[in-house]
Amino acid sequence: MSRAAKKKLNIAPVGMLILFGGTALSQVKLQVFEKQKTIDLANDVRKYEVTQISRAKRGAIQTADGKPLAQDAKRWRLQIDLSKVPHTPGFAVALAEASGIPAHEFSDQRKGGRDWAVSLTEYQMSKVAQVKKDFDAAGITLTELSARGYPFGVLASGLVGRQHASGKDGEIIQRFGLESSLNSVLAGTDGKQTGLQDKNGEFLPMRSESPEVLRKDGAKVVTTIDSEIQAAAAIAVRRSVERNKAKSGAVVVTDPKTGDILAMASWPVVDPEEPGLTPIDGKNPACTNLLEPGSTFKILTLTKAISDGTVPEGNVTNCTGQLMIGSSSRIRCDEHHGNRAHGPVDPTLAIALSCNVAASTWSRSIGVDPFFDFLKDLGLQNQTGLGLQGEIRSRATMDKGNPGLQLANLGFGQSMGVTPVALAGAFGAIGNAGKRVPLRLVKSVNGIEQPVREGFQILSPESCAYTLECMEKVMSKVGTGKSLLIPGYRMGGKTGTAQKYRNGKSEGYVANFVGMIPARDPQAVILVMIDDPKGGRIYGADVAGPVFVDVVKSVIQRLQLPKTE
Amino acid sequence: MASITLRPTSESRSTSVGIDWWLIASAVALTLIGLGTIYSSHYGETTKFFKDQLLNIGVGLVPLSIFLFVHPRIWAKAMPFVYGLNLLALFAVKFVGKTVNGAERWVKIGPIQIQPSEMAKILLVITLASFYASRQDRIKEFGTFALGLLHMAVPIVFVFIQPHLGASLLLIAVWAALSLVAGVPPKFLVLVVGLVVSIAALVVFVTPVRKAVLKPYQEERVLALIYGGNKTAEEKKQGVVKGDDYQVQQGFYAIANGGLAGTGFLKGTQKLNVPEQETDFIFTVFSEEFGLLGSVALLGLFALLFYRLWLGLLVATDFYYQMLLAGILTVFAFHLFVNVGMVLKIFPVVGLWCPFLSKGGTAIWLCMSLIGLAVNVRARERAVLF
Repeated sequence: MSRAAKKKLNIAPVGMLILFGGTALSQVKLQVFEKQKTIDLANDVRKYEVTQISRAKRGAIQTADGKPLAQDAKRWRLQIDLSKVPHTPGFAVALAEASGIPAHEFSDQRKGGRDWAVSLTEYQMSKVAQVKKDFDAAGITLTELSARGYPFGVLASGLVGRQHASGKDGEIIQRFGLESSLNSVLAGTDGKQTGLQDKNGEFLPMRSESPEVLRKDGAKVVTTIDSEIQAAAAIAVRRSVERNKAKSGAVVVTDPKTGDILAMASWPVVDPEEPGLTPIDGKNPACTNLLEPGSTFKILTLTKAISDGTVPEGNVTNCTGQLMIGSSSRIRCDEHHGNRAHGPVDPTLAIALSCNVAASTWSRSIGVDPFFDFLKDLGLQNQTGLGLQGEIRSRATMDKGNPGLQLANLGFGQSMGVTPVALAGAFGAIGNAGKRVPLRLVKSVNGIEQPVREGFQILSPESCAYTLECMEKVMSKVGTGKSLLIPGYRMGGKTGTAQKYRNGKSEGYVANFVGMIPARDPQAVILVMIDDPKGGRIYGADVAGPVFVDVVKSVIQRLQLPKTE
Repeated sequence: MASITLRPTSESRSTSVGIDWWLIASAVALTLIGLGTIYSSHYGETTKFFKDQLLNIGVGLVPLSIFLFVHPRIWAKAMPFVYGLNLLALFAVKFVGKTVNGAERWVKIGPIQIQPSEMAKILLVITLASFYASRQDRIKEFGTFALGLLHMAVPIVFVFIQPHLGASLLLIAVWAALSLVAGVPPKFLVLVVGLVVSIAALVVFVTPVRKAVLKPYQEERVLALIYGGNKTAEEKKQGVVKGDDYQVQQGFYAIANGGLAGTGFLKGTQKLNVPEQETDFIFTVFSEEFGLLGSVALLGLFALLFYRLWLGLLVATDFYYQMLLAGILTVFAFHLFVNVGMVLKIFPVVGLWCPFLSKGGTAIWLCMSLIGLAVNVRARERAVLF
């Protein structure tokens, strides 16, 4: 090679030196001088950063026997960005077939050229995902939605409530009932992952900043509710409310030994499938209504008086039909065939005939302060502690003006307000030999058993046994509950027909019934309260009694109670 | 000038070694660095790319052996056949090619996919070297220049319509370098280069021409470079980044994050934001983790490789071998500078990989083939001198 040619070749290393030098200098500029500026810019400009949310599955609410009261039904939201999908008839047809959307509807949308969203079932979702893969259609986005299913419908919706989604994307969520009160347990935590979207719209996870939040699904809550008793109670109470044109009704069934609520049914309640919000959303007459317990309360008054020894067993009261309290007030018994006076009645008969005079006599023997303490022991001055959404506090406020008259009224369940659920809990004390176990509604959370709460002895076992005998008498030929007998079973019961007063004016009645089965060592306490029946019949036995009969039949079957006679 | 004083003369150079060990050592070192960087690029995510690349290198031993052991003269003799094969492969892409990201580049042969446009790089080096070697006596004639131009132009047209702008530019560079080294009068080249540059300017700056000639994604890339990565002033104000510019921008952040000394091996964080960082943007991964010092050392390693090739070129007594070495050097140098240049925002994104480092079968096979050919040529060159 000539010297000139070799000289020419020297251009190569010179050129490369310049290139290497230029490259290195560019790097120096970027990595040393403009480093911070560039990193700041990187942190500043994160337009492609996206946060991917992995929705936590909401926990199911179940009955004690494993039936779902509320559970997630998976749905997916399909969004199509029309600028990023193939515009071929084949794609349109495949997508229409997979999604169940008519192809013509889809092609109409194509003309509009806008995003389009529709919700899909799990099966449709898998087919659409396949279409997305087959056609390499980046413009298809599938997002998981959570829809909630309520298999029991109106049979349990008063208690369970519902989750109501509104707004364009269902982003406004309102919750009622257990869905609201148990929300913290049911909700779980959404998973969150921050990452970047590449130019194809694919998600690139990023581990550098804002660490991802792992998804934690909500807990499964098993309640103490028995599916069949609940259903029987719900049907019975609805029938009674409708037949008697009542304002509302509630049934609460409890196990007095554990405080477990076996059923809590009421009417009217919201239909969980109802699309819009309704005024009765969140209303559960079993805990959001304050009612007067009326004559059913007499059994508690009697038990307390006997337990305290202020009234001996078998003590006879002479009922003249009325009892003067001081000089200007009196209480009276109800009229029966033109006659109010029950004559001389022992406690058994007084309960069976529902004598107000006897009940007032008993409560007056207890005294004002011990009686109010007793109400507190019964849980009737407080909420039940079940955390039910919208639960009203049961209460009796001491009337300082005429405590004597109030005490007499309290004796037969007037001048106090209780919720059905609280009252059912109070009756549990008689059913559990004087020991009141606070109510329980949640049996287990995510498989972890919730303990039965500690009970308190508030009445003597003997007094309770005596009262149960009296209650059995109610269900005999002489008692107010004679029409409610189920042959072969010994049951205790007590009717109640409370007159509601508001500012001294009568405002209808509350027809009540409390029953226990079996009469010896009760396994279940059943309380029925029907508010303001206007269908002609008002008495506890007539209005609330049939509900009790339906429910007790279901209880016998479910708890497999043997015949006692 | 330092490089000139380093120039060995035929008297002073060692005559005992026929194998250029420095060349081999630098190539092996770069390949290993590439493997490590690919491993790091998806560290904690997947080792798939690393394993793929290991397999690619294994498969690459076959073309390496072919070019290492087959006498280079055989290629020259078979020149029409090699040239025909080249055109046939490029032609095949149009019919059986697989479209990826809007460009048809791959042809599947059995279990392996190859890119004829990559293959064309070495094949053009061989055929063009053979061509100039065959017309060594008429090298100054315009006819030689014209035929050389035609020799290059046919494959380039095929590559360009795939479309693969980067490979087209590379083939032009190979042609220009070989022509210069062969001794073709520079004025001819100036003429052609001037023509190409004017066309390029027309394409870049005249919107209707640009729209007619370039694919939308190419247009986007060119505009991204000219307008500082953002399409409009409004978007620039909002700091919107899109498409390829996003990749470049993220790569930029990664490099900046490396700073002087780097974050350390496997410890890079920004690298994860760079899409497809294991291929064309592998330099950003290395640069983030080893910083300026590491990058300069890496460039030093490339410089060593290039120096050894240039040395061979300089001392070559055989015209054909000299042509081959010039072509090999051009392919490597063009790839490196354009790749690093696009990462550092000096050039637009034209889809040229970084030699030895980027993940990809055809890329590493080409590198290995070129090294095999270079070592082969160098060894024979020395044998002649004994």
